[in-house]
Amino acid sequence: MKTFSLAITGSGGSGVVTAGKILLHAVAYAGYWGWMAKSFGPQIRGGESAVMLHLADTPVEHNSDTFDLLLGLDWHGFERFADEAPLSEAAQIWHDEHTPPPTSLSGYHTRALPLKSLASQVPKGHINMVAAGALGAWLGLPFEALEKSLRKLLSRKGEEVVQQNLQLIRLGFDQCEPQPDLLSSWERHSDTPWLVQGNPLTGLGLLRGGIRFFSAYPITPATDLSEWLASRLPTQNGVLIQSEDELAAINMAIGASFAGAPAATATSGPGLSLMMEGIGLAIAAEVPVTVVNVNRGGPSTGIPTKSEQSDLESLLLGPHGDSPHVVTAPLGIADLAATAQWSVWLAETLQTAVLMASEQRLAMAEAILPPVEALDLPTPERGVKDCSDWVRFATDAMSPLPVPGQDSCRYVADGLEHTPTGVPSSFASDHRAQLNRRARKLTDFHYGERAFEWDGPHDAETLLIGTGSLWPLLKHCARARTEAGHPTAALGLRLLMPLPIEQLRPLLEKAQRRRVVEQTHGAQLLHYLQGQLPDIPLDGLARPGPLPIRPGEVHQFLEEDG
Amino acid sequence: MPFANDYKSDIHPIWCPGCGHFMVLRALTQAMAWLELDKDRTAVISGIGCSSRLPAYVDTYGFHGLHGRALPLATGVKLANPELTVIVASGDGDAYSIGGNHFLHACRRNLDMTLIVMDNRVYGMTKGQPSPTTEPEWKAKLAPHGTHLRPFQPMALALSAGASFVARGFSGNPAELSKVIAAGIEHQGFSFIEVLSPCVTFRPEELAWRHEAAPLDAEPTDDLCTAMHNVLKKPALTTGIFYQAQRPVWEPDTAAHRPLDALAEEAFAL
Repeated sequence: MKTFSLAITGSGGSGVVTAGKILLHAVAYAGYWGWMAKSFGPQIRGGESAVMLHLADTPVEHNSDTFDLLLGLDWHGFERFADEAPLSEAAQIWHDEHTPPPTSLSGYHTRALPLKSLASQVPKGHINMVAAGALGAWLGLPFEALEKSLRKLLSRKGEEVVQQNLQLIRLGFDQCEPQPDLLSSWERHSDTPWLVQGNPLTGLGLLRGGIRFFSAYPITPATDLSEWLASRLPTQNGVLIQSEDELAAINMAIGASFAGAPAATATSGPGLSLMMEGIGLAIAAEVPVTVVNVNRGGPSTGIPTKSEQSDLESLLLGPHGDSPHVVTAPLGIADLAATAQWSVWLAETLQTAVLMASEQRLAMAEAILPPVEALDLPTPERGVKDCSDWVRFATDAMSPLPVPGQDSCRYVADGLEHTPTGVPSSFASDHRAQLNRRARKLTDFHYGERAFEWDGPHDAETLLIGTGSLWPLLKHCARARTEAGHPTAALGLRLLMPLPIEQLRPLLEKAQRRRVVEQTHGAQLLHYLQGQLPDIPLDGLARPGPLPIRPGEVHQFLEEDG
Repeated sequence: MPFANDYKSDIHPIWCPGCGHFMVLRALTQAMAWLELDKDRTAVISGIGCSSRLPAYVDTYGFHGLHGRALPLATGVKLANPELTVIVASGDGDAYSIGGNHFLHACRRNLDMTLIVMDNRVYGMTKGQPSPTTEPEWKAKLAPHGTHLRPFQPMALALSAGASFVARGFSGNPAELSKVIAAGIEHQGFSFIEVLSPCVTFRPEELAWRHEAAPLDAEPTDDLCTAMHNVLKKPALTTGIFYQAQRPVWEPDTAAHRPLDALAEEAFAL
């Protein structure tokens, strides 16, 4: 596998993200693979901003250990971001001839480019376009790929703007010669890939799952999922509403679902906490609802623009009382759509709250991927044909959900404990029967092969266990370890609750070492798995964000006890 | 024509004997009967509190949700299934305190639903704490010297937040209350009905309201200033429809159907 990693940094508003997008699109048009992570400071404009591109000759979703090139459009706030882009020894630093890099970067090979003076040749010219052109040429991208990319991203602004920016890209492009060992020597694919953004891809999954209602309150980094759906959900005969807060968002979704529309909401840690009472209501009243949580740094308002997996315990244990529910996690960027679709399907099928553990790192990523196909799942049906012997909360069976206005199964959904017909009850017998019903409908269900992924030899000595954004990394590390003579497999958990213990147990028992890797401070996943499988020894690597876990860190951890 | 009792379920209310809410239930079911509401196309939504037990006592679809969250629940119901007649049953703690923000935003959206707030100026279900409409000097275990807080004026709030139907009723006058509720349900937009409903257990002095309640000596107006003047100047126990106006009901975006594959291609294909 051939790879190249580069980072572009600059102050917010300097065009870092646009430059990154142009390059990534051009990489896709030229027939290569790659993905891009974005990193922002808290400011809307003027803070630090960076994009990190990982290019490869095969589909790739994991981090590299180091970066081969760092381009600074300017160096404002760079020190706040520097840790996120560790440089290789041979790394190059590119900069404008008049803005040399900070002394902390001395010792690296530098390349000064006349970015500003070239940009000034074009009216309203910005240096980010010149830089994108220069990088593109140096990486070995054909100019046509950059032009296609620019047209894709800017054509809505009119031909004049396209021409101006094309000129800027050309000025940069002519500054550099293609490097013979880079993209021009890589094998190209002839597929027609997708270029996805994580949150919108999640939105597509929700639509494929059949949601007809979505309510949400703005919160970083979940907002652009809602924004993507805003113009698309109406085309599916669905309703989207910006609620007054997260309390309203979850309750609106529950109300809509009760009234017949499969419903979802999206939020991030603080909003998830506000939604918890509502999630408990959906569990108790058995109303299907899907909640996408895009994990940012926590606790409290934490680090809104950075990533972590630290909402895991909230997702698992947040609702009060005995509240069995479902927690899913996407295994990488490409899996966001499938897991969102599956989550809606599970919510509808099991009539409960399904919480999906997305992460900022996945949600804000852009990636070149093979087209993401929809899952082939049966459509769960709403409606009751004959209400005469229909019982809403029978103790021994699931019953279909009626559609008010269509079916004659009048009942009152209730957060209070209730009898099988839904009448509030504080009898011990009703409480026990309904607790059993709500627990068993989840534990008796067969979740199938989607519950987890396995990658590697079945007789692996070492098992790397993880979820979410770490899955591509663990796969990569396991393969490298296996190639190096240490049979290692990766186990990715897509269904976190209820944990498919019976299927997992034989796989875990076979391995000699089982090592949980997660991006939390408190080893939340490790402790959860230890509680679920108390007789199986597990240990783990747990580190909080915002710095992503890199392959070298996993390898070092595996070396620790041989 | 159906009778009020046809709309009652066979569950007996948990309310204290003599509670004003019995008469609100009576008036609501009477209004439903007059309007001949289709039970299968009616949803009564509530939060938590004595008032909020009401959905179980009517024979329609219902949702007894969370404390303060009846309005967002009802908003979801109405938007997802606009054919339903949506009625929200709430109390002064549920609607004005824990659910205060939703009250403002529901008025502002002006969705076609009817909010009935049974105001007894006390938290009954938790046994006698002051609510946002309790008099400042009223003493309780949790406020031994009174709250010394100026009570909310919910009708003034509703008017300023954008409700298009604002009325007050009294549980001691169920005949008038039924008419007000029926008018509220028929009104196209967000109808807010404040219902004075005495708590005989924790506020027995409220039984004296029957001597003070009097109908509004004016026709419903669509003039906001006149309505606000009447709300603020007339005695607090004045009942009737203070304001009724035609104002746009919030409507979600609509769009022509597009196949999902086309959406996906447009968004993600190169």
